[in-house]
Amino acid sequence: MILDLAEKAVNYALNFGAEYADVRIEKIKVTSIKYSQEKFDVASSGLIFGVGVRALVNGAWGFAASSLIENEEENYVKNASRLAVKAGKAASLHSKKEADIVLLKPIKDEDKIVVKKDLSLISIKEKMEIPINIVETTKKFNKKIVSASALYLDECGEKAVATSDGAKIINELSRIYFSVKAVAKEGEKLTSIHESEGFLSGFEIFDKIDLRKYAVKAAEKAVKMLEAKPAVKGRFKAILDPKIAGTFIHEAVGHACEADYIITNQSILCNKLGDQIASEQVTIYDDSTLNGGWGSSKYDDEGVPTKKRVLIENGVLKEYILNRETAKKLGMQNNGGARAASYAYKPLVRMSNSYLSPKDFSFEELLEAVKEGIYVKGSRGGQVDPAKGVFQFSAEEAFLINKGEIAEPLFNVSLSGSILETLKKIFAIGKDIEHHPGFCGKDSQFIPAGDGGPHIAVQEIIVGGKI
Amino acid sequence: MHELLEYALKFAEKQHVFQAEALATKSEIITLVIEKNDVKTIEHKTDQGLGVRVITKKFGKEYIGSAFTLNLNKNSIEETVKNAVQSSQFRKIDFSNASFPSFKTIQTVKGIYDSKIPNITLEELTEIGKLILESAAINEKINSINAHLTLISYWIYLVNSLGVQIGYPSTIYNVSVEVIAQNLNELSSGEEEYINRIFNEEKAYQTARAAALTALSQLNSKQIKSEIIDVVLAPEAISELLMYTLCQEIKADSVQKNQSPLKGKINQEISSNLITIIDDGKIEGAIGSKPYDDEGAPTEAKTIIEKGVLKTYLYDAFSAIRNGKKTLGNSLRPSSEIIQKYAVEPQAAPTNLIIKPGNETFESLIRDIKKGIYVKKVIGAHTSNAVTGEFSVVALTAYKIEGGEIKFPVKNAMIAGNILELLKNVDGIGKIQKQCQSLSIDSSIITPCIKIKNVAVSA
Repeated sequence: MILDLAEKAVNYALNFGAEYADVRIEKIKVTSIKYSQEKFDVASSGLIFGVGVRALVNGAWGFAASSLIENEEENYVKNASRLAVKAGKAASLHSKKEADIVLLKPIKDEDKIVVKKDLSLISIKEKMEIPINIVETTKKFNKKIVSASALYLDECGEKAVATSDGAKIINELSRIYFSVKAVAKEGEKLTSIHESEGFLSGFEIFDKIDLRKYAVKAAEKAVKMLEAKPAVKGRFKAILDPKIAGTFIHEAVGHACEADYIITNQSILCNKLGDQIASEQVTIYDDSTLNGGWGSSKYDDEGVPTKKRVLIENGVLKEYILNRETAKKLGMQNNGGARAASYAYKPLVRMSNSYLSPKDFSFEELLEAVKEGIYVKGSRGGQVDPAKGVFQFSAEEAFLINKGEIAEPLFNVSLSGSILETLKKIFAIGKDIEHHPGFCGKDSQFIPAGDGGPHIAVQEIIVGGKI
Repeated sequence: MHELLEYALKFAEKQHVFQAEALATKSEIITLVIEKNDVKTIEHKTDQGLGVRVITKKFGKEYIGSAFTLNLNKNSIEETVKNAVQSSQFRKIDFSNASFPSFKTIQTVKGIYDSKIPNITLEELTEIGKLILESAAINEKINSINAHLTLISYWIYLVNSLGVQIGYPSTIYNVSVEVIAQNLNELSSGEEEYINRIFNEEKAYQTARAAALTALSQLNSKQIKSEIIDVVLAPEAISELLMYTLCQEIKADSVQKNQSPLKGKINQEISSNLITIIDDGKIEGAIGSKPYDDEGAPTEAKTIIEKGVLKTYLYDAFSAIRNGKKTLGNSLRPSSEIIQKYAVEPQAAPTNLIIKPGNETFESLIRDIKKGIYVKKVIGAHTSNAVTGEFSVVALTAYKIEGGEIKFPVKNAMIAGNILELLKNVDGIGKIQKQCQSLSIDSSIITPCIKIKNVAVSA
C-alpha cells in the first residue's frame, strides 16, 4: 500500500538527518483526449507512479522526486529520501537557515470518493465518444460554425501523504474535465468561444448531465460574436459576468493573498491585513471545503486539514492563504493552502476554489446602475504582476451597454487596470453565483483550481483591445 | 533502456500491429531555488518513462494509438502497449500510407551536451547561489532577489519497427533571476533569463546583475498616453509574442486544419523584406538543437521566411505524408523542466526559430525615433489568438523613447495588434541575437532587437 511506502520514506528521511520530512506518493491513471476536425489529435492514457520527498535540514529545504517501478519501489523511495536530505544539507551551507514550519498533532484519515463507474475500468473508446458528441452537436447548431474541437481529461487513483509529525492521509482521486471550443465564420470574420466543465466524480456523471448544453452554449455565443464590432478603447463603467469576475478574483486578488508572495514582498497586499482594500460590498473566499468544488480537498499536500478562508470580508483584508512555513514565519494559524501539481513538485501556497460572495442586485438592476458602459463575458485568460498590482485579461464576449440595455457586441476586448483601484471601484454585486473549473499555473505547476462569483459592476476599467 | 524499448516493440508485434514505436526519456534535474535573498531549497528530480505509439490496420485503413507509463516494470509495459492498441481502435488516420520515419542516417550535433552539468556537486551549486545574491545586491534599493538555477541532463531513446534505433544525451543550463527594487513606496521588478546547453558560471552572475539593473531602471515609471508610435522590441518580448502566434501558424498541422492565416501563402510576401526566418534543428549549441527529432527523423535547417516571402511550413512525419512532402525533422514532444517526452504525443513545431540579424546597433535602432517605446518584457501573450494572430499584451518592462534617446520607464502600457501586421511594419533589425526559451524547454527563439513602425500603444 502506498501509504505504508510513504511512511517508510518519512522514516528514511529522518534517519538520513532530516528534522522534518513530508512525502507524497501517487499511483494514478490518466487519460487525455483531444478531438478536432473529425480526428483525434491526442488519445492517450498513462500510468503514473512516483514519489516526492521534502526534507527540512538545518533551516533549509531539500526536495527529491522520482518515478517509481513496481517491485523495486522501496529502493527508489529510499534513494529519493537520501537525495532530499543531501540536497537540504547542501542548501543550508549558504542559507540563512531560517526555514521553519508549524507542526501539528498526528492525524490519520482517508479522503474518499464514492464512484459508481470507476474511470480506470471504462475503455478509452467510451471516453473518446464524449468529445465526439460535443463536437458533433456544436457543428450541427448552425452553418456558421466552421469548426469545433473538444478536450477530455480524467485521472483516478490514489495519493498518499505522510509527514514526520504524524499525518497519514490517503486520498482517492477521480476527476473529469472536458471543454469545447466553437469557431464561427462569416466572410473573413472568425470568432471562437470556449466552454468547460469539471467534476470530482466517476464516469457516471455522463448519465446525469446533458452534454448538448455545453455545445449549444459555445456555438450560440460564437455565432453571436460574428456581429461584433471592433472594440472601443478607453476607460469604461463595466459589468463583469461570473466568469471574468471569477478570473479577476482568482488572478488579481487570490494570487496577491498567497503568503509566499507576501513574505517575498511580491504582493501588493503586504502589510495590509485589517485594511479596507475593497469597497464594502466585497467579500471573497478561498474555500477548499466547497462541496463538489473543482479545487476541493479535505487535506492539503502537507497533510494539513483544509478550511474555508475568508480573504476579504466587507472590503477588509482578513486572511492570507498559508502553508506550514509561511504560517510559522508570519505567526498565523495555518489554513492548509499547500498544494503541489504532482508528486514531482514541492507544495506551494495555492488557491483551491476562490470566489466572490453574492449580494443582492439582479442583473437588470446592475444594467440600470451602469447605464452606459460595457458588459464583458468569459475569459480567454490573463496575467497579473502581483508586485506591481496590475492585471490584464482578454474577454471572450463583450457588449456595449446603452441606456441601461445591452447593445451591440464588441470583439477583441481586453481589460486591464490596477488591482487595488479596481477593487474599490466595485459598486454593485449581483445575487447570482457560478463556479468554474480551471487550471492555475504558478512556478510551472498547473493544478485544478475553481473560481467564481456573481455578476459585478465596476465604476471604471481600462479597455485595451485593438486601436 | 534500449532493452525495455525492444521488449515493448516485440510485445506490440505480438498484438499484430502494423508499426510500433517506443520512446523513453531518462532525466535528472537539479534546481537551486533562491527566495527573498536566501538560498532556500535544492531540488533533485529523477524521472524515467516510456511511451508507445502503434499504427494498426483494419480493412485497409490505418489507425494510430498511444499510451505511456512511468512504471517501467514488464507488466506495466505490456499494459501500456495494450492501452496503445486499444486507443487506436477508434482513431482513424485521415490519410493513407501513414508510417513512422524509417531513416537510418547517422547524424550528430555539436554542443548539446556538457558533461560538467551532471557532475556539478551540490556544494558548488550553493556557492554559485551565494555569488548570485552578491551580484544582484547592487545597492540598498534592491529589496528582494529571487532566482532559479537549473541543471538538466537527459537521454532520449527511440526505436521503431522500421529499424530506427537512436539514443543521445543532452543538457540544459538555465538561470532566471527576478529582482524587486524599492524606492519609498514604489516597487519595481526586473527579470532576466539565460539559457544554454553549456554550463557557464559567469553568466549566472551577469544575469543576476542585469536583473537588478533592470529593476532599478524601472523605478519612477510614468504612464504614457495612448497613441500609434514606433516600438523597439527586445528579444525577450519578440519571443513571447512569436511563440503563441507565428510559431503556431507555421506548423503544417495548423495549415492543414485551416487554423493558420498563412494557408495558401507559400511564395507570397507576408512580412517586411527585412525579415528572414530560419528553423534550424542542428546548429551548434542551441537549445532546440538535436540530431534527430522526437520521432527519429534527422533534423535540418530550412528557411521559413526569406526576405519577407513565405517559403515553407514545418512538417513532422504525418503532416508531411498528408501533404505529399517529406518530414523536415520538426516533430516535437513538448516538455517542461522534467523531460517527460514519453507522456506527450508528437506534433510539428519549430526547433530553433532564428530571426536573421541585421546590422543595426541598439543606438542606431532608436536614433531616428521621435516618439516611441522600447519594450523589453511583455506579459499576457498566451492569450493571443493563434488562428488569427491577434494579440494584446502588457508591456511590463518598457521605456519611453524621445528624440532618439531612452527617456524614462513606462508603467502599464499595452500593445495590441496582429503578428503579421507587426512583421509587415518592421523597420530595422539589430545585429546582436539572444537565445530565448520557446514553448518547450528544448525549443528556442533566437532573435535580435526589432524596430517596428506604427504600433498601437495604449495606456
